[in-house]
Amino acid sequence: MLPQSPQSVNDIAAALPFLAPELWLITTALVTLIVGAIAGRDTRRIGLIAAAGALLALLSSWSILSQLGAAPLPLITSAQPDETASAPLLILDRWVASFRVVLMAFLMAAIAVWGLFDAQRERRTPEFFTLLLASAVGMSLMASAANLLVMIVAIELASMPSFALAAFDRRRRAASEAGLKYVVFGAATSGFMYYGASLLYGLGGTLSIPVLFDRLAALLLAEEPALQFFLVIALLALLIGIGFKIAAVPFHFWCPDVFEGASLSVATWLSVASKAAGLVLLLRVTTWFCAPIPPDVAISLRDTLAIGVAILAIATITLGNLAAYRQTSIRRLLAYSSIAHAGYMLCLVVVPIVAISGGPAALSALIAYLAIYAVMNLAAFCGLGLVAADTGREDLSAFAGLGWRAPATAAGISVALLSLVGLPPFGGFLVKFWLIAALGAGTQSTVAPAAQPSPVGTAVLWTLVVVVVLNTAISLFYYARIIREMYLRPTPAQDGRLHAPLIGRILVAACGLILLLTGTVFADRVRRSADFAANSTRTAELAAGPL
Amino acid sequence: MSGILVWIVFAPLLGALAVLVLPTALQMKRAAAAASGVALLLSLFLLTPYAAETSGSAPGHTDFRVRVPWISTADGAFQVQFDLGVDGLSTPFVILTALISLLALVASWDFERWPGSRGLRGYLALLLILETGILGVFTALDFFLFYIFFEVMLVPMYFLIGIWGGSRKEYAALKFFLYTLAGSVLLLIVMLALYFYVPPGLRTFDLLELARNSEIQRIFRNDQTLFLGFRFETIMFVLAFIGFAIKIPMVPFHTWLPDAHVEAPTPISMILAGLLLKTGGYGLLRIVYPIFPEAATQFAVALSTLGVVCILYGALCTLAQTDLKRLVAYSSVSHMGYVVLGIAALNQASMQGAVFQMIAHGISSAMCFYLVGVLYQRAGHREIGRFGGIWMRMPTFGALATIGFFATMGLPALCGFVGEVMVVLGTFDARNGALGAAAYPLGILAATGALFAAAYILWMMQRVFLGPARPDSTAFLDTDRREIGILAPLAALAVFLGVLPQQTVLNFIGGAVTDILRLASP
Repeated sequence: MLPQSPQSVNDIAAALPFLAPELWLITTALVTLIVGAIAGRDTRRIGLIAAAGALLALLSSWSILSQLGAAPLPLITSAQPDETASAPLLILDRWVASFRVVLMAFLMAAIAVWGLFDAQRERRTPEFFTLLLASAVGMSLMASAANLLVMIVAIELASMPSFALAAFDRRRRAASEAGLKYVVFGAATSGFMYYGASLLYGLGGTLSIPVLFDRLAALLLAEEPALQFFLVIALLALLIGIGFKIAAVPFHFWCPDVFEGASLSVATWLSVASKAAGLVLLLRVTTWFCAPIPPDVAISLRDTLAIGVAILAIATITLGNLAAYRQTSIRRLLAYSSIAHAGYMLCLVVVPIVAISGGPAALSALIAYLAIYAVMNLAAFCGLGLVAADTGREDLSAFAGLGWRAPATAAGISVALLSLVGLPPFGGFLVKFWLIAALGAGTQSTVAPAAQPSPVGTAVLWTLVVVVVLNTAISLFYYARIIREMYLRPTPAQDGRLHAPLIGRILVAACGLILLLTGTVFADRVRRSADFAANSTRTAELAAGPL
Repeated sequence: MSGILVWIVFAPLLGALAVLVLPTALQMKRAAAAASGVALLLSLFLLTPYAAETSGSAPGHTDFRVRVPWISTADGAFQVQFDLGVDGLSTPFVILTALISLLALVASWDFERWPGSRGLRGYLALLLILETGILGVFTALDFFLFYIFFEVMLVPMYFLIGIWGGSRKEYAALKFFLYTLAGSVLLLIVMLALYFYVPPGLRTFDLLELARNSEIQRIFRNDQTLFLGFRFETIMFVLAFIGFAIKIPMVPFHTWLPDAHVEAPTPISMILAGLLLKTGGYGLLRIVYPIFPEAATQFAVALSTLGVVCILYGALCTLAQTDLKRLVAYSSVSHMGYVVLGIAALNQASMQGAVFQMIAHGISSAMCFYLVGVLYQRAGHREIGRFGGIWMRMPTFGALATIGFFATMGLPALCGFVGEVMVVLGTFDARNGALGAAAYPLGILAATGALFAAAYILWMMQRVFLGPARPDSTAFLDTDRREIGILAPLAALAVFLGVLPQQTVLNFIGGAVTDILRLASP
């Protein structure tokens, strides 16, 4: 189906096979609208169509991943008059393709959650799926964007439908409030991002991100005056835009409200997908930016950026965990938990800033973390849905006695929560360990012994290790409250079986089993898959090069 | 025979899986006991290398080593081994773990009669998972694997205390969880730093290699190696020591212990006091002291002082207790103080004494907690002041209790005596070594701990067992066959270790201790 191992794909038509997942999603979005208009707004039928479309997207993204070569594949190379190097709009490599697989699989899961818990109340199914699938397309394109404009369009394509999805349930006040908060924050941070992007364009004179960064590296080598100052401002402005997407502190205020106001499936979707796409984009852009700069040049710039990102990450982790402790609404608790986890992953962005050779390890750690994090969050949200379906409440006390009423479901939720804490022998521990191991590995260069990371960079990385590890202990507090409620508290009066969809219960238990297996017998396989994904990027080439 | 350790460690886990599917309560209990029994029988095979007087084994020698790659990166830069092995240090702990776990399972046989008991299936499965975790800690030779097993112990224990515990179980369970998790995250930092401060070709999680590879040790001991501005070896030693000291537990990190021990159901208290505390001391001897010997010498006086504080403070707290179980719990703090002192004094006699003390305390504290449990099961309370003349009502129980409590007290010819005496003698001996002038005062103060122990044990014995029998104890039945079946082996071991310390424990650990000390003074 795909052309045999091309070096690059220049025109749009030839690039389409590589964008099959996105095309499937767009097609499905249109089909749901048309079917809704012609054949009636049957919730069940349209849900099945959407699920089928997501499945096709998943299968095609899987098949593209398995056929991609080791070298990154530039897509839709535009020949601009003043450009010598090729300037593609998108770059697809195994890492991005792996992220697409995770994203599409999670899209399937979100549709399953919708079918289990939200479908009965849904009135506007076609519109809902158009928005959901469009946001998935945006997130998928965010990951592979190699052009400033494409990046901004992709971010907006991911954001706009999300705003509408958050406020989709118009009858609920909380939903409208959440949507408004989300859109206001989104607009403000987008402004920063445009500002940063235009500054970058002004500095480099091109929209193509790799070309732009190559030029900036050359300018840095030439020690252009005042360049570093504007660069720091531009990059931090971009960071604010992406920080909003991943709900990094202090751009996180929308997150708890949106999770509480939106329907369960939307909250599930946003808790993983929007953060994942933002982090993938951020880490990739950072590696692109830092890789062409020789290690001994612009140490002060590296140190400034490393400290800036590290402060953001530390604030995000710590505030997320501390704020989660006070919550009694499980949705808000999970929202703060997701903020903390985005903070953990944000730490990885510091690695390529400090050390080029740490890049592949950071990429590998991020993709593994995202995959396991998706499973953990799916189990937590799905478990919440089951409890809400049974008791009609979503607060902490609704979980009381669940361990005795539905042992398998409670066990699945417990495993997911302990995995979110980062306790062995569950998958969450392994990926958290790899994350801090990537931070540790960044402190020593493996390729160029002469070009060790700066002392400041090393100190920043070890500080992050300490912060992540100590926060593991803090986070136990609030996750354990749910477990305590399920097992240690007396069962409420209406004792008996859990009245909730069987498929949902199976899904939660299966997630628990996956987390147990990935933490033990399949640990090596997870690691190897992540390494396979990470070892094909531009960073790997550069790290192996003469630097 | 090579895979025997795998079977020992995972036999309880297989038992846990069996428990999850079996239909009736009796079958579940039998399966659990069988799995634990298999682990015990197999663990006895670990003694075979010591049949022929091999106490002076080669440095770093281990038996029954199983070593297969577990997790590795594509480029081979990151290697985790599934690495199990035992030496003279770990063998006694493995056997002790298998024994105490089996006895705890037998002690759980009357589960249905516990107040508010439900969920036998989960209880047995968690107890067996806990056993696998403890056995894994005592056999793992890869730091990563050790850490996994170390943390696997936490969650089952949280549930075992939190679900089946006493009135303040929620508080006690969470406190235990948080304290010990705080300790283990410190270990996680140490583990990563030990791995990544070494240049890529040499990086390893192998505990023996980390201690013995001169190239790696040169980096660790270098004054120029800094971790966040601190001297590397010093800060790592402190972090790792605190990590394990919480488990021991050493004052001031001990406050989780009385709560957890008192609230836990009897069999779980046996495991907590008998085994879990020992993982802390074992970790010091397996990881902290061999890998950071210079810092160990540097901190010897300070840590010995803390050990003595532990002994005396624990003893004074014990004197003040009115609850029988709290009394036994606080006495553990005092007795584990000898372990800290013995290890910190860095001397052949004191270190052997510390290991012996851990084994002996494993036996005597498990026995004491069960004795208290037997009494509580009959009386429904544990107030020392409300007992009296129990010996008259329950003569067999009284006899066994005397052995158990006197073993704790350190009466000669019982197991508690040997360890304490060796630690104190070793402390005096350390005046030419690590402790210098501080050796005499510390040794004298440590010796007074035995006086306090005699005071609190004898006073308690007098109030509970002697004197006129109370009218409310007329219905107390003497120990039944199952209870004797649990107490008798422990009593026999208490005597056995006390009479033949050389043959039972010291012969095994001599070589391992010499090995650790050789690293400390090259």
